Amino acid sequence: MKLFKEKLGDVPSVLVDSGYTMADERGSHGEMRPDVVVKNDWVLKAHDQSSVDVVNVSSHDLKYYSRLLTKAEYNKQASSQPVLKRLVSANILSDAPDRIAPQPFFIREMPSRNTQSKPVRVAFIGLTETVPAAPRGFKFIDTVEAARRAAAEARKQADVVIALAHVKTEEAARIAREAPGIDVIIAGNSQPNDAFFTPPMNVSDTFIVFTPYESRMLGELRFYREEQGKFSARVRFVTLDEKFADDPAAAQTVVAAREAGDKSIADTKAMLDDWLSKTRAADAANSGGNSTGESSPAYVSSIACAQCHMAQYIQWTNSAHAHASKPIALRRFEFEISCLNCHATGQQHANGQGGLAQLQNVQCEQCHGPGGDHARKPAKGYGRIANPQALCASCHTADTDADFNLQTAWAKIKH
Amino acid sequence: MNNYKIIKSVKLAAVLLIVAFAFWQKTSSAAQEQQARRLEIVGMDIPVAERAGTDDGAAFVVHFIGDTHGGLEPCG
Repeated sequence: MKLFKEKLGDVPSVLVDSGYTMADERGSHGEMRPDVVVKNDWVLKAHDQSSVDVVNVSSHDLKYYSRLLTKAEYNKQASSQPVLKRLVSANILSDAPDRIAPQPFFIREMPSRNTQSKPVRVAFIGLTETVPAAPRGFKFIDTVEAARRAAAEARKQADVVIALAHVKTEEAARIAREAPGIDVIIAGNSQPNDAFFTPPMNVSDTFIVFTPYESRMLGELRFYREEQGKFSARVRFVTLDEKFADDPAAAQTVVAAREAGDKSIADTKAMLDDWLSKTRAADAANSGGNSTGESSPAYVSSIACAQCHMAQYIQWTNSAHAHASKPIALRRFEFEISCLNCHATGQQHANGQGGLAQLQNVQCEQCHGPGGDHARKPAKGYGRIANPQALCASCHTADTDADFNLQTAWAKIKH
Repeated sequence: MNNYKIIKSVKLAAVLLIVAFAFWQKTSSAAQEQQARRLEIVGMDIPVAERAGTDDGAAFVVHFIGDTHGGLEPCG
């Protein structure tokens, strides 16, 4: 970008992003993988480093940004990551009091090149296609309706109105037809046939340009003053290839980001391997009914329970709970500690002590609580579950087990 | 006399039609020309320094990227 700025001389310029900037590969339960979060943290840093002036939040990006758009996190991070203040979306709204929605539009003043003219106020509206499920605390509203409202408001405050829209070609055309007042739409996600370039078009009074797939070309809109305070626009697409020398600082960021992503995957795998081997050893030690380690509360494992509750133990061994750690061993690259909340026994208590669950699989004590004291001194009253519905629902959520039915499930494990 | 009036009217209508057609063609090709001038693709055959463009009197410029899906390569 430095070269472009140099060549432009004193022509004011901004760099904007039409959205789907973040990676959104998901884990088994729709959660963003730990290495993907690390990768996206670096993308955010790069946005500030390369001075991206406005960023449109697409539905793909919201999964990542939703972690940063809580009031607490935003207040903590916005000073060190100022790009958070330049996120836009007119059709992503907050649905909870502790969430902060991106602003519908952002106005940037471009200094006038003619000392007699006023600066040009350019409004950038954010728009995204909608998906059925927004991340918790947010909701989508209709793209065209949001565009209509935002354009009317932006028009009052700006000389030029530009919409950054992560939408398909036909939706961009619909916005141009039905939301008057938008001068230019910069649309992403415009490749119905995987074509990486879509030519610009005019719809009503709106000029629509499309972001080349994966930014293989840099888009450049040049605005010229016309009579009566109007502006005309021209678009250039500049092929980016290895002939453009790398910016040393940005190249360093790319390398650092790749290393951080690789390290995250390696750390995750090492942590999981370590946990699997330790808990396997603990299982072997517990086969005699000993408690795990010296930490409190003490877990004794299902084998210890079997000393007195053999029928229940046999039923458990035939249930899916007895093999609940298997899936995480198979999906090592997406492992994170929170997996153990539901795929192991005792993580809820370990969380408070900064440790990891002491037992593999969902054993008796995951639902009934640590059994060390009960095993030492058996008595009635241990392990009663006051609210089975709430307990089961803490793991069998809509995200993890959409078809879960308590009655059917209980019939399988009744004991 | 009546025939003369009719012929005169037909002639006038024909002239008006020709003028309207010529005007429509002119504005239409101007629109096409304007549309063509609005797009420029700067390919790999152009030296890098030229690809970046020059100050051609533009009031301001908006560079745009997107759809990078977590890729940082365009930044480098």
